[in-house]
Order: sequence, then C-alpha cells, then structure tokens
Amino acid sequence: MDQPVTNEAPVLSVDDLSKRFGGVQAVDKVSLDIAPGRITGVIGPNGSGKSTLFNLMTGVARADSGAVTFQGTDITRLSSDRINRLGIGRTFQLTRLFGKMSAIENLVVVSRHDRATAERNAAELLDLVSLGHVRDEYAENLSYGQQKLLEFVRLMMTDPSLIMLDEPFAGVNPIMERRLLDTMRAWLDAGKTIVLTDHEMAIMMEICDDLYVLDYGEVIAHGPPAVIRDDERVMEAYFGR
Amino acid sequence: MSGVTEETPAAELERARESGRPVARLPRWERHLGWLYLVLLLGAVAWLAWFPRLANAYNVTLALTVLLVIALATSWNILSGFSGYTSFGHAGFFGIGSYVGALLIFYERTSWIPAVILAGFATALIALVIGYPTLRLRGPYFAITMLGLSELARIVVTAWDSLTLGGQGVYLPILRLEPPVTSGPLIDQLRNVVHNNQNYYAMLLLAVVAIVVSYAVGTSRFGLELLAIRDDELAARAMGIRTTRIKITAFALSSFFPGAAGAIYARHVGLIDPPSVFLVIWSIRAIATSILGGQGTILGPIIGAIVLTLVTEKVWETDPNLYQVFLGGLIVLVVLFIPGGILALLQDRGWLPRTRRI
Ligand SMILES: Nc1ncnc2c1ncn2[C@@H]1O[C@H](COP(=O)(O)OP(=O)(O)OP(=O)(O)O)[C@@H](O)[C@H]1O
Ligand SMILES: [Mg+2]
Repeated sequence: MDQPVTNEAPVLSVDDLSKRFGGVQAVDKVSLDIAPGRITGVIGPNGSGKSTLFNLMTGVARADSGAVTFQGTDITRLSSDRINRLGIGRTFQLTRLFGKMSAIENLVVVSRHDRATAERNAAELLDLVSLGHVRDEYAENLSYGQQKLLEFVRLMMTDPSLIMLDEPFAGVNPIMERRLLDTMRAWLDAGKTIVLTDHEMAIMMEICDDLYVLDYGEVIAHGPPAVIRDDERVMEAYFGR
Repeated sequence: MSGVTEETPAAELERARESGRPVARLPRWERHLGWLYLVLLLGAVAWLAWFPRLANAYNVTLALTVLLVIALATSWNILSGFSGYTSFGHAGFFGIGSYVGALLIFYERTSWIPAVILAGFATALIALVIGYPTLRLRGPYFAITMLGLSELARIVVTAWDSLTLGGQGVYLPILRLEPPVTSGPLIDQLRNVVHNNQNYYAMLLLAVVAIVVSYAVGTSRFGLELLAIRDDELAARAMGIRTTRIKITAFALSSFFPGAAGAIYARHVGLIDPPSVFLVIWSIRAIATSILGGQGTILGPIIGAIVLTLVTEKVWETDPNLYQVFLGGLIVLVVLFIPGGILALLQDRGWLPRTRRI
C-alpha cells in the first residue's frame, strides 16, 4: 500500500503523530509523506481527525507525540508563525479572516515586503480573483464565497512552497469551484506542493495524485485515487457504520 | 454543494448599505487627511502653548488634566485598543513612574526632565520583562493579571520604605514661581510663562508625543498587525505574524507614557503616596476614555479624553468614589448603546470619513 507517487524525497513527512483530546484520540500514530509538486489529499469521515492533523502540521495545535519534518527541519515543536515563515501556508475549514479589517488590509498585514510593494501585490491579487471592487470593504461584510477567495489570496501573499487547504470546496458554488481549481493549477505550475482535505469525493478523486484515508485518527488506506476507490475498508469507513 | 450565489458588485454594495453595517469606504481626499491632522494638531498645540497666558491657575490645571488623560488613554489604546488585550496595568505603571521620577528628584540624583524621561523608560523596561509571560494569557486573564501586578507594585513600594519612604509619601520641592512678565521682548515673556507652568508644558509635550506615536502605530503595518491580533490571533500567527514580539513591543511603547506622566504628575501635585498614585481609577480612566471616544482608533482616545475630563472633573473633585461609580456606569452605557464610541457615532453621521487612518 505504501507506494510512493514519485521517487523524489518528500517535502514534508509526518512520523507517528498523535493527539488526544480528553477521551478522544483525534490523531492516532499517523505517518505520511507529502510528495513535492503534487496534490496530496487527506480524506475521511466527519471527526476522523483531518483538521486536527492539519493543525498539528502547522503548529496551530501541539502534538502529544511523533514528529513533523519539513524540508529536513524538525518543525514539531515550532510555533505556527515560525512554521509559516519556513514556507507552509494554510487556510481554515471555517474561514478565519481579520473581520474588522478591509480586504486589502487582510493581505497587506501578512506581507513581508515593504508597504508599497505589499499594497501593489495585494491589489494585483485582489484583481486576480475579481475582488478588486471590494478592496476597502471590511472582510466580515463580504459574502461567503468572497471570504473564501480572500483567504485563498491571503495565503498567496506570503508565497508558501507548501499549501494546506482544509475543505476549500465546502459550500462553494460551481463557478467559485472552478476559480479555486484554476488557482490551484497555477500553484502547481509554479512548483508548489498542495495538501488538501475535502468531502467532495468526485473532486478529490479527480485532482489528487495521492490519497490518505483517515478513520478514528488512524490512516486506514493510502495510495493513488484509482486504488483508494476500490478499497473495501474505505467504503466501510464511509458507508458501513 | 450548498447554494451560495454570485452577486454582482453593485448588488453587494447595495446589500451592505441596506444592512446598515459599516462600509469601509475611503473618500478621495482621504490621502490628504494626514496633512489635515498635522495642521489641526499644530494649531491645537499652538493654542495650548499660549493657553497659560490667557487662563487662570485653575483652568491651567484642568487643561493639564486633559493632557494627562490624553497621554494615558492614547497610550493605553496602543496596546489594548488596537490588539484587544485590555490592560489594567496603567495604574501600576503610573504609580511606578511617579515614584521613579519623584525619588530621582527627591534624592537629587537627576534634575526633573531626565527624571521624567527615566521614569518612562523604567516602566517600559518593566513592561518588556512582564510582557513575555503575561501576554500569553488570553483576554480576561491578562486583564486580571495586570490588575494584580499593579496591586503588587503598590504593596512593594509601600513596604520598601528605606527607599520609598513607604506610606508617609514623598514630598517634592515646591516650584518657585517668578513674577509674571507681561511686557518686554516676547521671548522673555515666553520663558517666564514656561518657567511658571513647567509641568503643564511637560504634559503638553508628552501628550503630543503620545499622539504622534499613536498615529505612527495606527497608520503602519505594525498597527495592522495589532488589529489582526485583535480580530483573530490564531489566524494571525498561522499567517506568519510574530504575535508575541508585536504584543510585547506594543506593551512597552504603551507603558512608557503612564510612567512619564506619573513623574510629571508627582511634580505637579508635590506630594505622592502609594494610595494616591497606585489607584485603579487611573487604569479605569484610561479604559473608559478610550471606550467612550472609540478604542482601536487614533482620534477616539483624544476625543474621549477631552469630553470625559471636562464633563467629569467636578465629580472627581467632589468624590473620587462617586467618580468610580460614574465611570463604571458610563462604560456600560457606551458599550450597550454606542459600541464604537463617539468616533463611530460621528462616522455613522457622515461627519468624519470612515477610514483606518484615524
Ligand atoms: N479542540 C478540540 N477539543 C476537543 N476535541 C476536539 C478538538 N478538536 C477536535 N476534536 C475532536 O477530535 C476529533 C477529530 O476532529 P477533527 O476536527 O480533526 O475531524 P475532521 O476530520 O476535520 O472532521 P470534519 O470532516 O467534520 O471537519 C473529533 O472527535 C473532534 O470532536
Ligand atoms: Mg475538519
């Protein structure tokens, strides 16, 4: 089952990572490798530990045990700002924007360039996703779809090499979905790596190069979509309870 | 796939307007606003600089109090208004600054101007040291901890009587006034009025510096980072914003001013003791002022300081306890009925532009 999708060294590896919340073993000895320049998907039923795994990988939550290695650096105990500065960017399952700041301020604030460059980059990115007309609107006043897009481009402001998206397609209409997919394709073309979770099985099967399936915090299957599709345990995890 | 429909830009704007929610629109002349404020500030400073020539001692003291509250509220706002970390530490910094300044003068270690500056740096240094552990605490815990540390500072100062003279307080030499000079060269008149109102001018300068620093913070990316921390600290960190460093820097900047203001105040009143300077009301005054004017803005604390001080000075003079009750009630009313403070009220009326730069 553990056939690597490429022969290149992984950009990020997770080894035996675990996290417990009270009586819930949210993530249970998870190990995985993220291949460079690819889309790796993490799927699993509700509550299977996908978001927690993302949080552990990005320093938003602390692991009880195990290790995360990014480009040869042990990042398990680093704070989330340091991890982001090493080149890992993320979005959240429920968008987390700076609500009482304007759209453009949401972007400028995370930039690492000087103010003028930051504002220019931000304006370009807003135009890229057709949000130019709401640049001075408070983020909390934007529509749901616009907020998703804004969180997407905020991610791009720091130019991460590894991008982690937690359910980017949830509640998004087909037009927006195409926009997100186009953006992701552009990222891959720019040599970036993507890790993604979502419940939209059709999309996940179509775009992911490699899939990990979680259930009760454990990896129960791993492989390319074609293999996962026919895996009995996966079907059981999703439908058999 | 749930149905979120695409809206046209116009429809969106219309929706935002109809819902009556704040819309952050920048008017075209917004970019010139900085200059307008500079002119207004210079005008106000010029008038205030001349004020002691026009007013009696009572009104000069009243103006000094307004300036003191501007310095306290504006500096409180730099950490607490922008980042949302409400601090009850201003009373502690004010008390410590009063004592550092007063003792430097009392033991004749420095003259009064360096004493004031050193008092500010002493409190900023203390903030740097205590900021690291305390600013990891979330909201209410940080507020309570700073309340406790302020109280602790009062106890230490009271107990350490070999240095601080303890509960008996510190008397400072009375400023020897010169007879008023109302004729002759303007420069002599000016020197005379400055000499006779030293503490007033020191407080004016301090308030101006606080406003300038607040403006610099509020219009910089540092200010945006503080706002991001206020809106969603977890997301801010995950986006690479160095939240710990930023909060501590803001805390140190913020605490310089109550320290220096305390030293000027000590000199102004001539006698300080722990109960009078380590008084929670100094924190509450800064907080109430900022909330009334509009916290997290540059103009808000200034507007609040002017309004609140002029309205409440009589209450404060009659009974500080009543004053405390009054402020408490006022905070509740403002939070309930004008959550954005006076500034937001003016903006909603369209009298002031809705822009981040104030
Ligand atoms: N902060 C927390 N405190 C307590 N329990 C938590 C916390 N975060 C997650 N959990 C629990 O850990 C388990 C895994 O949750 P997680 O959100 O990681 O799942 P998920 O796979 O992302 O689910 P979904 O598909 O619904 O987003 C769940 O049982 C959840 O209730
Ligand atoms: Mg999740």
